[in-house]
Amino acid sequence: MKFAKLSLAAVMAMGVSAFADVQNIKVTGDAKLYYSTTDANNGDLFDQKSSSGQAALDVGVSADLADGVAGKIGVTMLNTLGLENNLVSSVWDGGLSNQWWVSEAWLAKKIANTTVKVGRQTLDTPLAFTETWSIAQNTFDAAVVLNNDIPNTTLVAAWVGRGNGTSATPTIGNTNSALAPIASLAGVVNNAQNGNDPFGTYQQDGAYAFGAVTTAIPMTTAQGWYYNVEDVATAYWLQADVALENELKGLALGAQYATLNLDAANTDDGAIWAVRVGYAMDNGLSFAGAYSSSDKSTAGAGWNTATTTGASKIYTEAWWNYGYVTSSDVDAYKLSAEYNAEDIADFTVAYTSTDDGSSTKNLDEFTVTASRSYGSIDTSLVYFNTKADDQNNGDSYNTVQVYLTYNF
Amino acid sequence: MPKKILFLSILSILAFASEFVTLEDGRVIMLKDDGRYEEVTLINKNGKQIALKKDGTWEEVSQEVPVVETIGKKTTQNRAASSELVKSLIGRWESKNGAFVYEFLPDGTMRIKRDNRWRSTKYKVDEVNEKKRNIVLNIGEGSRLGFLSIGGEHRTLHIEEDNKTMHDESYRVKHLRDLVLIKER
Repeated sequence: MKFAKLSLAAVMAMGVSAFADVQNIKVTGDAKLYYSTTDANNGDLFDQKSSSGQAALDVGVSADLADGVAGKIGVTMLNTLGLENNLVSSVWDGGLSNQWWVSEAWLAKKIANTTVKVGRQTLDTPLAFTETWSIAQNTFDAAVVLNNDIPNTTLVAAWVGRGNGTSATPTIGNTNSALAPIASLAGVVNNAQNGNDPFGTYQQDGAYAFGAVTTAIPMTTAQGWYYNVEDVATAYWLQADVALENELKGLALGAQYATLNLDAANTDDGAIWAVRVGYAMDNGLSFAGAYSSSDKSTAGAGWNTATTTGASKIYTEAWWNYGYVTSSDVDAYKLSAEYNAEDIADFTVAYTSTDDGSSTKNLDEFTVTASRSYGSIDTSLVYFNTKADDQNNGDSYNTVQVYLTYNF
Repeated sequence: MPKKILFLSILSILAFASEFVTLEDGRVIMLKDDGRYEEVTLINKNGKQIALKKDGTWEEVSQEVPVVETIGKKTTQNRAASSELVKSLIGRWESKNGAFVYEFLPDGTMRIKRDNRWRSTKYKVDEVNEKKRNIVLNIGEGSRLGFLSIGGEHRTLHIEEDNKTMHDESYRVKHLRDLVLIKER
């Protein structure tokens, strides 16, 4: 008994001692409810058969640990709330049943001008990134090293081993292939239902990325990235964004160039370039125009290698219909305007048009969004009209979406 | 006679009524008249505050339970109030392209502009490291449960010696880019 008491005391002492080194503990997260409805495929808006809905809960704890190490662990849960019985017929992401997974679990340590971050984490690089537009976000099992020894410059080296984005396998033959595919609207993350691990090897054998982001050139942020997606492809991304100052303040210019060189035989390398002009006024109003053009190739270029959505950071990227702008042999332009009426709402109007050289995958997308926060609750109402050669028999259709997020 | 007994009873209850305080870490302590103290659990029942004692008894708490500071331990807020580094935080900080703006006011409120969107919130200093010139800001905290901060975000900001150049370290760890903000005023 004495031994037990002593052990308990020792454990408690250890706990208190360890806890004394833990600071700045933050519990945070959000609860989301997303809904989408369309009149495509002879459906009716707000009809169950043509609607999608899902709820999600993200909970995370971050803290500064001993010896200057920071860390975070986060969990994502998806649930339909039973909406499929009455209001919707498909989910936004993942599978139909309840599911949860550890979405973040990382440690970071800064030594002099170098930061090392290891573990499950979000990534924000041009060709391998976490997509934030759906109800669930894809993350990566990765190791990232950042260095700032060169003034005004950040050097990045990253290794990505696994991910839960939809282009990171579970593949056929994997134990997860027993899961029936679920018709999900967004398709950012793998299905995690029935306790299955949604994380799989990134592409074939993981990927390396090296980048440099510098503001050494006046008024300019320039970045260059090299990717080696092992046994699949190599890729480059170059970008320069100029924000003019003084009397031209608010005017921004940008240029992008990306390539994709596939390892497989008998494939054509892809490339895409884009330019953008934007102007932001002090009153919250901003305008932008962008143009892009991709070469004829096997798989296009510039898209996110982490998922199958086709999402990209190309200036002309559509609001909802990803994968068109970055396809092979496509010219595209995008016009957009945003108005931030503080204490009222944020409004966006955008129009994207693509011209496919093969004339089988042209897209016209017109989008209007209104977003407002009520204390801890973020709300967005979205309408977009799509006319695409390969959707709805080429006829245009409408989509209405509602996004509700409670932040805590 | 009954009135005397009632008066003496009330007097004795008042004389022996315990005092309750909340420590900085969130624990509620009952200070006893005999010089001892005891940690209790405070609950609300029908609008009344009840202190649950470890010996299985309970006692109604008729007064507000004040939060007390540990003497001799300089709190972060005290350090922050006297820190020149924290004082230099007050003002408007803007990235070169104007996409990010942090506007700190002395009253603990701030406005943040990210990606052309403004939002107003509150902030407080959770940690100051004068040597490294780092400030850990607790932005938009919803509530606090002892040592746990719930809601909002922690951001580590590094201010250079010139007091006019700020690096958002938290942004760097998340987005792999150095977010530099210049003090405008």
